[in-house]
Amino acid sequence: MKPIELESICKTFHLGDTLVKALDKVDLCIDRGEFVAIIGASGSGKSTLMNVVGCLDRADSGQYRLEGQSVRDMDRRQLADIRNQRIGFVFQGFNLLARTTALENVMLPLLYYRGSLPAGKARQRAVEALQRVGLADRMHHEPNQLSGGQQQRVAIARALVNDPAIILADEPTGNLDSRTTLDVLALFQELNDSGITIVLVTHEADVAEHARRVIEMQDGCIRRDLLIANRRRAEVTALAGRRSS
Amino acid sequence: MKWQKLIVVALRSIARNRLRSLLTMLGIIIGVASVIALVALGEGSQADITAEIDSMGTNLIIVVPASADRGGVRGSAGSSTSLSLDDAETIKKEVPTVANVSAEIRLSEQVVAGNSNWNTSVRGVSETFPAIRNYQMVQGAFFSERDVKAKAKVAVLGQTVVDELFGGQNPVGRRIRIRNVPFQVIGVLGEKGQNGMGDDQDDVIMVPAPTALYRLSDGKTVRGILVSAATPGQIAEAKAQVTTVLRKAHRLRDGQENDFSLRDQSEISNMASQVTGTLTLLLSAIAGVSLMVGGIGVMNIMLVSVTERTREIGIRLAIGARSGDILLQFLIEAVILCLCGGLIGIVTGLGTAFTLGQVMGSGVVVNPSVILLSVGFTLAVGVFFGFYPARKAANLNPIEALRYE
Ligand SMILES: Nc1ncnc2c1ncn2[C@@H]1O[C@H](COP(=O)(O)OP(=O)(O)OP(=O)(O)O)[C@@H](O)[C@H]1O
Ligand SMILES: [Mg+2]
Repeated sequence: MKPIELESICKTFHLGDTLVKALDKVDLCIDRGEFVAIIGASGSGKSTLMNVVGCLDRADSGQYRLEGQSVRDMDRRQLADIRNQRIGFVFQGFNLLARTTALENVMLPLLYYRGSLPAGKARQRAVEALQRVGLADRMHHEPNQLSGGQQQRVAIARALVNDPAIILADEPTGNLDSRTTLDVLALFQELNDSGITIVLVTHEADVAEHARRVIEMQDGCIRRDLLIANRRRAEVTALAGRRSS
Repeated sequence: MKWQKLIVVALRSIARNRLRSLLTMLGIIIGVASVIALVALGEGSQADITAEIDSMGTNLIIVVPASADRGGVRGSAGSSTSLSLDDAETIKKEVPTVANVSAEIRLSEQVVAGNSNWNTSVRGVSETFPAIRNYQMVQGAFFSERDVKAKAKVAVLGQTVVDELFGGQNPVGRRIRIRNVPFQVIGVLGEKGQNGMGDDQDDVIMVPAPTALYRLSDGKTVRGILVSAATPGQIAEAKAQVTTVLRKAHRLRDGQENDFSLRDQSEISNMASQVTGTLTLLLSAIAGVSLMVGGIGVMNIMLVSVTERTREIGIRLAIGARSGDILLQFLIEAVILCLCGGLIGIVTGLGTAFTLGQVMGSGVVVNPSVILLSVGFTLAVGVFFGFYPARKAANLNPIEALRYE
């Protein structure tokens, strides 16, 4: 059973009189443990695809199975629970709550967790997630006291905290300089090594080269889908410092 | 999603915007404070009036000429002569359930003592008057039955009159002149202070009823007869008997209307509480309207807050908050805003009531049910006016919310 299976997914937007086919019969399968980069021109439908896969949006037609389960007939509440427990999101703009500490930001998904989770346990999981991204020493800092790279790592920790099988990242390095980009990529590779399926949207070819598989989109369709033989490993030097701290 | 967590989230976002939260609450605070203060003062003055009516004497029944009771044109001399001193005597003799009876004549006179003079209320009453109206003496004695029978020219003064005519010195044994009639002062009444209408009850001179009637007045106008029933249980019986006796004395035939009317204390206090009750109701309605306006203020700010925090809502939805969670979060926030406003309002209202009560010298009654009611009402205002903005937040589309700048 594959984590993500899309069958002729269509999504059309109406802009006044014109119809924009953001997704046009997309077929896509992603296996467990894959690291997929999605590239393509602006407006080619990358974000729309991510939103459908992440259950933030519904397709107009087609079949989407998440871990073998069809999403089509689920109500808003079930979709919310899927976003909460099975999928982690990372956005270009970090999307952290302002004036809220890193720890509280990371604990946010646990606030909406349906199972029983004692407060102490929740906190512990958030601390562990922050340790995993190397920010344990910054947990009481608020977003405006953190650098862009650090903010994105907090966002990754938030995506990790509910132990999802899949992490979806829409241009996670779009707002970062090249050095911090490598930081974040190294982190994604590390998470991928631990078995998490990762789908990442990017504009930059050298970011895509860090994935194992690259999909190129054009006008709402998949134009190319290829495996990378020898992908690049991100420099971990940038991260060396945090290991010891 | 647990309630405590939601409450913490709501409190945090209220604390984040302290000034705005306070301003939002202001409408509620003013509304609740005015309800609490008005009701506390209203019930306080009602209690004052009740206490004062009780202090008028126990088991009191007042007989007045019929015309005096009809309002409108206050009884002209001719129409209010239906009561006489004989009526008082008849009641005393023939009604067994009556303990004390006193006629009452009221005159407004210029009174002279040496070089001083003072305009005051002169009352003609019987020797039983202090017993009926709970008056104490501080100096000398009240006049006796013999003084009354003899139409003696003796007077008992209230404290204000003593201050004005004698500079506060003991007047017992001194002389005063009322309408050029010399009177000897034989006693001073204990102080009673102001009554509910603000009249000085110590600005008074008591003289025997016949003396007042025949030496100072026209010999006809008796303003009323004060009767006290033997026990509280006998008030109704005494009223019936007094009516029968007076009808006989006035030779009224069957079917003819009474030319006098009777009131007892419970009727008087009912009338008083009706007036203050209506007033309280009116003021509460005004306060209720201001609470409503406060609620609309809360709704307005909540709507602004939802728009302002669209991105936050988007983030929460994206990481798995259900619409219901968002709805509850904003609803709880509105309710907490209203409740906090309500609590501050209660404290402010009580403070205002006690301060005003001190200044105006009127009583304050704290009624727990009014406090509970206003808490309940603010809760309802919070839910009612918070629901629409909260639902607006809950129904946001996560993608659009995230993209909102
Ligand atoms: N909410 C919307 N309403 C109308 N049209 C939309 C909406 N969202 C996306 N579109 C259109 O759908 C198409 C695909 O948009 P999408 O955001 O998926 O592109 P993208 O590949 O992510 O682009 P970029 O690289 O610039 O982020 C575009 O033409 C866009 O204008
Ligand atoms: Mg995009």
